[in-house]
Amino acid sequence: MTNLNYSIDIHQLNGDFEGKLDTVISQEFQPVLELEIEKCKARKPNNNLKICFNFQGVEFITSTFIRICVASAKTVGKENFSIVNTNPLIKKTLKIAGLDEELNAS
Amino acid sequence: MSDYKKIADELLGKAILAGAMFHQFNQEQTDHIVDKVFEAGFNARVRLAKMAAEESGLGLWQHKVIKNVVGTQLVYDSIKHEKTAGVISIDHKSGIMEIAQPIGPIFGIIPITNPTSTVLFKILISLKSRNPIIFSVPRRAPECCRKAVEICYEAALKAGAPEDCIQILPETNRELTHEVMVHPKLSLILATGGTGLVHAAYSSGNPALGVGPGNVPILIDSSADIPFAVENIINSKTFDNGTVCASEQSVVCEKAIAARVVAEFEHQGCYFLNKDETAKIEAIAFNQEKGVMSADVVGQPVTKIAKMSGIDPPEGTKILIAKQEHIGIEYSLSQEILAPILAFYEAPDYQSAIKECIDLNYLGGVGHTAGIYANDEERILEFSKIMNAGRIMVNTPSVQGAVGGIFNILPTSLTLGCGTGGKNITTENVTAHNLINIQRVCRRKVNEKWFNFDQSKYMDESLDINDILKEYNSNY
Repeated sequence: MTNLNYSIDIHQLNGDFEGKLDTVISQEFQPVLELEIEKCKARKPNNNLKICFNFQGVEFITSTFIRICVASAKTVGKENFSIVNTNPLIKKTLKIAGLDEELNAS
Repeated sequence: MSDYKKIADELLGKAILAGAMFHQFNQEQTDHIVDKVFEAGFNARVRLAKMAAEESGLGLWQHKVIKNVVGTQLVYDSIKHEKTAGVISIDHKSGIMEIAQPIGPIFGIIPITNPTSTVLFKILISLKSRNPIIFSVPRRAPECCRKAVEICYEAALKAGAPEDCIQILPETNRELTHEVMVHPKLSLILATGGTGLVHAAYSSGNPALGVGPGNVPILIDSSADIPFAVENIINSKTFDNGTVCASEQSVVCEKAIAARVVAEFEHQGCYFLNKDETAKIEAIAFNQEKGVMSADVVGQPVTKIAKMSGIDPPEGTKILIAKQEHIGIEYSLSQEILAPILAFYEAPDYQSAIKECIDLNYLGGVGHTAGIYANDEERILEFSKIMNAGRIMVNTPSVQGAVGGIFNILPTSLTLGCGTGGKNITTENVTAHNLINIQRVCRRKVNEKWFNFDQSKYMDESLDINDILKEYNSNY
């Protein structure tokens, strides 16, 4: 399950996720996210967009989803991207992948 | 940054991600993937064998089918019930629980002699241990390996395995192989190949599980069933035209039974070379300058070797046998030659026969495999204690015996550890359990002796070991 919403006051795109972020979900999510990022950027073109993914309830992620995170972080800048509320298994998965810092995962 | 370094970075980057994904899998998910990959690999056994025989020009496709069966069915049988994810054992008495963790990206190096079977085997044990694997395939047999990888990868993905869990180097060359071997993100090199390659793997700075060269001596004792021994040796040595490193290289027997052994070999279709013929075979079978067997004879049938050397053995000859008197680097046929060529030694007595086996064992096959045919338990034990070999085959064809799962319950493997003698870290038949890190969760079980002993006494130099131990063990 995925849910995206935009907080205009802090110019941040928030994603809420739960369950298994498998390949199918990731592939469906990718164009939606890309579109949403473009829309949000258009709202405040002179400000840096932030993206925050809430992983509360996420049990499993695929490399496809991680690639989406990496691409998103690249789009908005590493310092503007974060993942919060990872469970320990997901935290370790990102650690093994060497991406926990790059994606500001906590 | 060199192009090869970039390629290695890319491969390892993908492998690390695949490994991270794999880490999330439980035993059930892992086993499901292994089941499906086994099925796919097994179903492709004939196609891959024909490709391997044709492309490499070595061995017989029918025997390569059997190798592929060993690398899939028997390997699968030996690992399918093994626990490799999560908690793998709990010992309430000791308070120790073991948890398996995947080790991370593995670099699998494939030998020309057993290409597809080794690919299939390494894929199964890597997936079973939740590790991604990257392959370096032999230059003379790349396509059959690529096909094996493609078939297994497709099946693995369908079964839910992580993307890039199986990869292959885009090209085979020393520079790229080196870059992957030394890459800081690599966890283990699973090196099956020649001495130089295994040495390079161990020198890479990354952990490695390698193999050593074989120079398998076989002792036929006077207590042996000679026709049985000869039949088994022939079946083993002729398998895939002798390409397996565990194949018999020399037969040693006492003079008292030598004539019977020779007659039996001849009766069963082998040919003893005369001195001139032996010299011709030596000339083509071993490169004395380089100190290695000649690649031209590896895995070739007797007919082709005969033609190459200009000898004319009887039609249908199974093995060319050369009587030898000496053992050493200057004596070509006392060394490993992966072809249907066998050295034959007559020793004056049993003790001398064992000593010749020691010389052969240490000449180039230390730590690998040795064999004895005997019905005398004391002699079997003496031989076994004297030889330096990870596997001692008793009344067993050494090829089919050493790989495990056919004549014994050794773990089925196409990577046979040779211990420190072969510059390896293990004498085991390498399998899935060698590819996991085992964490030991230790519950508090105090050592009462330690805690009840007044440890200030260790500081007192006037107390010697007897004084200390007397009190340490007091009342226990």
